Amino acid sequence: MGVASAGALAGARRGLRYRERQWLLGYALIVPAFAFVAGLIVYPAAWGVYFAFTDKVIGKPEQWVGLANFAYLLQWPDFGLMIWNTILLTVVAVAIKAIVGMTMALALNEDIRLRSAIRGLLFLPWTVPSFVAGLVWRWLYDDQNGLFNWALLKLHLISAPISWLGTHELAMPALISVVVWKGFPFFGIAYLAGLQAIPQDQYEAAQVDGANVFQRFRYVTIPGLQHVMLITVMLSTIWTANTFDLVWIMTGGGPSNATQVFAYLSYVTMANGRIGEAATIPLMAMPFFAALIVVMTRYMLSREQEG
Amino acid sequence: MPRGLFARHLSRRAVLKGTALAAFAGLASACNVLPAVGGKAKLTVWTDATFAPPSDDYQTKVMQDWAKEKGVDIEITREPGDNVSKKLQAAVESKQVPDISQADDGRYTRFQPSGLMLDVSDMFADVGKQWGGWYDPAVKLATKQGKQMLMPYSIDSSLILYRKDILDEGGVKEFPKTWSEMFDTVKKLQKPPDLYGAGFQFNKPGTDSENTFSMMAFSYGAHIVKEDSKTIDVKTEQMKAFLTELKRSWDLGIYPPGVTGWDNSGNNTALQDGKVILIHNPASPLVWFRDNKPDMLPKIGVSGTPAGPTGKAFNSAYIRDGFAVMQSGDQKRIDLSKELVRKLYDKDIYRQWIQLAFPAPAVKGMEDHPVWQNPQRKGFLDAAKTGVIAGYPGEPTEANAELGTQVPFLTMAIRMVVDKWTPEQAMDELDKVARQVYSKYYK
Repeated sequence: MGVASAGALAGARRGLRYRERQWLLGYALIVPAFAFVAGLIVYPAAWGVYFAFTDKVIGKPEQWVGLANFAYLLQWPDFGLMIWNTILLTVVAVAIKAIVGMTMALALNEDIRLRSAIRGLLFLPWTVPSFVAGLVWRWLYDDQNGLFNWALLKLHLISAPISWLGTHELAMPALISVVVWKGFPFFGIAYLAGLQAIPQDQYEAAQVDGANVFQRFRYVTIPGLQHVMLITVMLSTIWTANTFDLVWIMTGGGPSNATQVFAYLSYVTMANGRIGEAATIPLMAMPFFAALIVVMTRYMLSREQEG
Repeated sequence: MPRGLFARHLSRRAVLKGTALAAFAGLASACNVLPAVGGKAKLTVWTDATFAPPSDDYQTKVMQDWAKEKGVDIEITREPGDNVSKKLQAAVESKQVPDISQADDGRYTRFQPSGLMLDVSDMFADVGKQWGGWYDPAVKLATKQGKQMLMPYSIDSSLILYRKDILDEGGVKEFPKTWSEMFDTVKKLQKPPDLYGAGFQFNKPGTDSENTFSMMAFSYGAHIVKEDSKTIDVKTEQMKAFLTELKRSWDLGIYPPGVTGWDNSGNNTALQDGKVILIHNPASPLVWFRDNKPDMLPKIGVSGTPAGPTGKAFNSAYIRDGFAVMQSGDQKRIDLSKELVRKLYDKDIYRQWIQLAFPAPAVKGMEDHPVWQNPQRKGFLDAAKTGVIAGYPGEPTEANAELGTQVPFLTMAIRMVVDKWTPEQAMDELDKVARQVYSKYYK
């Protein structure tokens, strides 16, 4: 660098006001975070959106096909069933998880014997890796060597094994039960933390006013837990709607697409090398998740402002 | 460590330079861009872990011994299931491929259009000459646009594996000739819920049944496309007859109730645990019996796939093991890779591998091998010679490969038994889906 240009730079530096230097420093400090988000979230997501409008297949250059992938998927014979399955799995599983989690939290919030041991035990399903849970439950449900069928046959309650994972009527409930088993501790933990944050004097005041146990639950516990409930339900809705691992291990989307959901169909299409179509599937679900995220963010911001 | 050692000898700039160089070298090495340190070539080989681990171990040792002799660093990975395919997807897309990849014909059809599988026509001709020629399915499946980009190593097939002891006890001296006879026979012999007649999956992850039902359909004269490989021909009387008979077999109650939820392990497990009389499968359960229940092995019979009403029977044939030399961009590594693949076809090595593995060879010159005196294995050699290949009655095409991922014959079967559709409804759906897929390739 020449002397003249170095002098010009120094002059420019001296010319920057304090506030501008602070701004520059601020921007410089967020560059790593920005690069991280851009590189790991924005860039792949943008490619994903782009591929949804192409006929991209592994190993071949893509061509723009407009909305052809969307039209192709909408014509897929069980597309409506897949949407229904995703909604059913999400709504039923989240509702049951919320109820079971609340029951768990209420019980563990009381001064009962062996509370710590019971807490540990109830949190266990959440700590088990999904693929382990899937394999264990698959074995439990198995028609040939599964524990449930073995027990029912031994007890002479059935004369032939039940195909828990092989019928329209049973496969989805069987899957939902495992999703609930795996996920309810999250609600339990969150609700328990929320319960412990509710001031005890509110319960005492309600009791003095003559409120019974149900009224205390309705008018003290529920309002006190409202924000925790909303956030847990929203997060769990997103996670449950994206259930992949348990479907993959337990049913493979079957029988006859009875447990086919967005995430699994996208995986299968991707595994077959059809990147364009695979990218289209999550994109079709994106408006729903985007709306959920907007609602959740607005709610959290409004709570912050209230606080 | 003495204090200040680094401070005295290395400036901060030097440390940064060194770190950057080390990072680059590590990255380049991971991406297989640079040869191994010291100018030694490094080869990466991706292979499958098969149901016959002794054959895998033997092949690995052959490769390692060759590498040692040649002074080559070699990294051989063995992946179970279809993991190599999944790895190849990313590798092909990023053009960071291994030097050699094992490939069955499905993988070959999918990845060959990328242009990263190199032309090995010379080696194909040379090995063919050495071994007295290739079996027809190997030639048809490996040849694309008149060239070979895959070296077929084994041809596999699915045959009927059945409990010979149960048939003997039931006075059945000869395995039934037709599908209908087979279904009726096992109906008589089964003792549910402990023992069912047949273990065919009626669930999409149970892709073995796609093979089973397609062979049954062909034996009824049904098919998806005509011989031109382009014209959809689903809605025929033959297809209806096949579906009607398949539905009848379901109504006979010969399948365990869980078959609608089975994956590809379901049928193997059922035969191995003595829960079904027969399955339609490659030879992997025989290997399992040999290693785990040797007393049961002689009780397992192997039969060709039954015939349809026309008297014609079809067995499938596909390349299970094949080797593709991939475009690494380094001629020295490409030459070494070809040399290594060529080595696997050496007389003693190939014969020993066939001894340990379960499929049939892709070449003709091994029919004197003593393994074929075992009737359980001989059926697989016969199927390798005459079996039908993907795309029948046409050629294996990309359209056919894409439709194949949707397991079309199995889907029709599932529609009938799980969703209670009629054969006509099942055919209508397949006709629509097949036209949709083929319209992408043939305007």
